[in-house]
Formats: sequence, structure tokens, C-alpha cells
Amino acid sequence: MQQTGIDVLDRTVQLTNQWLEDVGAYLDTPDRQTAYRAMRAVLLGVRDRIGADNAAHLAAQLPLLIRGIFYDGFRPSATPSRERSREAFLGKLDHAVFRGLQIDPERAAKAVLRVMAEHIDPNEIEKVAQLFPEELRDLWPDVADLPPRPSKRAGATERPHADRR
Amino acid sequence: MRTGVEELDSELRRTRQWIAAVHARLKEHDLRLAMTALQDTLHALRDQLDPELAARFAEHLPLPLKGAYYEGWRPSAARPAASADGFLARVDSSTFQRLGITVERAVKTSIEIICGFIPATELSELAAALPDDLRRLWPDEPAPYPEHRTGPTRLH
Repeated sequence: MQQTGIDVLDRTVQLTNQWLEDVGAYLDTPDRQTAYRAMRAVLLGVRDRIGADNAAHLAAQLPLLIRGIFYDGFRPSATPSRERSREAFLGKLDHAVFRGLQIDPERAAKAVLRVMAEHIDPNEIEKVAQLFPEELRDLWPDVADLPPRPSKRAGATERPHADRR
Repeated sequence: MRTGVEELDSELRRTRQWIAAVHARLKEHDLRLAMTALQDTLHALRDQLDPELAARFAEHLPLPLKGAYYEGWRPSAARPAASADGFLARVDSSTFQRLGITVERAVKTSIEIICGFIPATELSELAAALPDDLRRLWPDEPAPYPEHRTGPTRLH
């Protein structure tokens, strides 16, 4: 595969591709575009639900490109969005996306949250899941049920000059 | 490297344009250094801004640079620098010094390129949030007011 010559971009494309593949696998679609649109809609819903400070903590765990997606169109003063019910939260996700993709928002939410949980520090996932009201919490997978994470996925550094710090 | 998602791949191309523009101005050094300069400058700018303005500014960045910009962001803990020196001190100078360029040059170059890619109306608001003497880091004097810059990068 052709490299960009900018390690930080090459690395983040690799990581993003893993996330997209995993989301696609849980949604039974080989189509990257579908996986991307579903992932983006759910990431934005989570971001707005938990408020700016919590979102920043979560964002710190995301690969660079996915962090860019996560923050796309962010308006801190409009958060947290405070939906209490399942319908309200799932209804808030970008429905145009799911109608177009013919994917049930709940299924997409579960798939994306599962992929997040598989790639991110379990403590952070636990914290974010706790920020969700009871009625919404089971959209998250039970962290204890997840397979152990391959170490290469943990805490990947993406600094352009990783030797600096 | 590609994601196979057109929207993302086009954002990656845009990002490479930004980096290449910084690289072209820093000459002899590699692309990694250009990315570091850009990222460190974006962080320093970000930390000057209140969360709402910081987020509005981010909307002009291609997605990968948006991800770089938000790295380590603490929305409720902005500590704006009061002077240009304080601003420059926020940037870790070791990488630049090792390669024989000053932090000021790296930051000024990055700001020039950033200014070239961002709408003038947004820039005037950004400039207003910065300490007065920071304007010596801007490409033109006085600070970029709306009529000052439009359109894509202008390389001198």
C-alpha cells in the first residue's frame, strides 16, 4: 500500500480501517461507506449525550482520524443533550443516515459501541457507559464479556515525533 | 494510504495539502516536521480560545487535522497566554531546535498556512482572541481583518 510519508497519517488510516472493518462486520456489510456513516452517526450521538468535558476524555482514546470524525460539527454549548429514554437517544441519531442505509439505529448503536469497547481502555468505556441513564446503558456491551484486547491496539501513539515525550 | 470511504480520503488529501504547504515553506526538513509544526501551532491557537470559539475554528480543518487539533483538549481548562512569548513557550521546542529551526519560524509558517486556508471572517474573530503582540506572528500587519485575505493559500 502506498504510504503518505507522514507516519501519523498512515498509522491513523490503518487504525481507522480496523474500526470500519469491525463495524462493518457487526453490521453484516462489506461496504465501507455504510460502516462509516453508521459509525459517524453513533459517535456524534455519544459525544453530544455526555457533555464537552466527558467527550474530551473519551476523545483522548480515539485514533486521530476517528477523533476528527467524533468532533465534526461539535457545538459544546449545545451539550449534553440529556436524552433519558431509549427512543429519545436513538431518535436523536441521524435518522436520514439509517433510513438511507436501511439499518436499525439500535443495531447500529450497539455495533459501534461494541467496536469502541473493543478498541478503548475498558475503564474509560465503563466511565462513559455510567454517564448513560439506566435505560440506555445496555446499548453498551458488558465490558467483562469482551475478549481481551490485542496489545497492539492499546494506547497507540500517533504523535508525528513519537520520540519527543 | 486510503480508507476506501470517499469522504475520508478526500479529507486526507486536503490534510496532505496543508502539510505540503507548511513543508514547502520550511524547505529542507521532512514532512513529519511540517505535521509537528502544524499540530503544535493548532494546539497553541486552540488553547487561546473559549470552547465555543475553539469548536467553531475547528470546523475549518480537514478531519485528520481536526483530530490532531483536539488531541489533549481540556474544554473547561483553557489558559490563554498573555503574550506572544507565552504563546510560543507553549510549543515544545526540542524537535525544532534539534533540526535547527526556531519555534517562532515553525509557528509563524504554520499560522501563515492556516490563515491561507481559513475564511477571512473567521480569522478576524480568531485574531481578536489573541494577545495583541501575537500579531507579529501573523503573516500580514495589521492582523487579518475581513478584507485582508480571501481564498486559498497565498505563498509569497
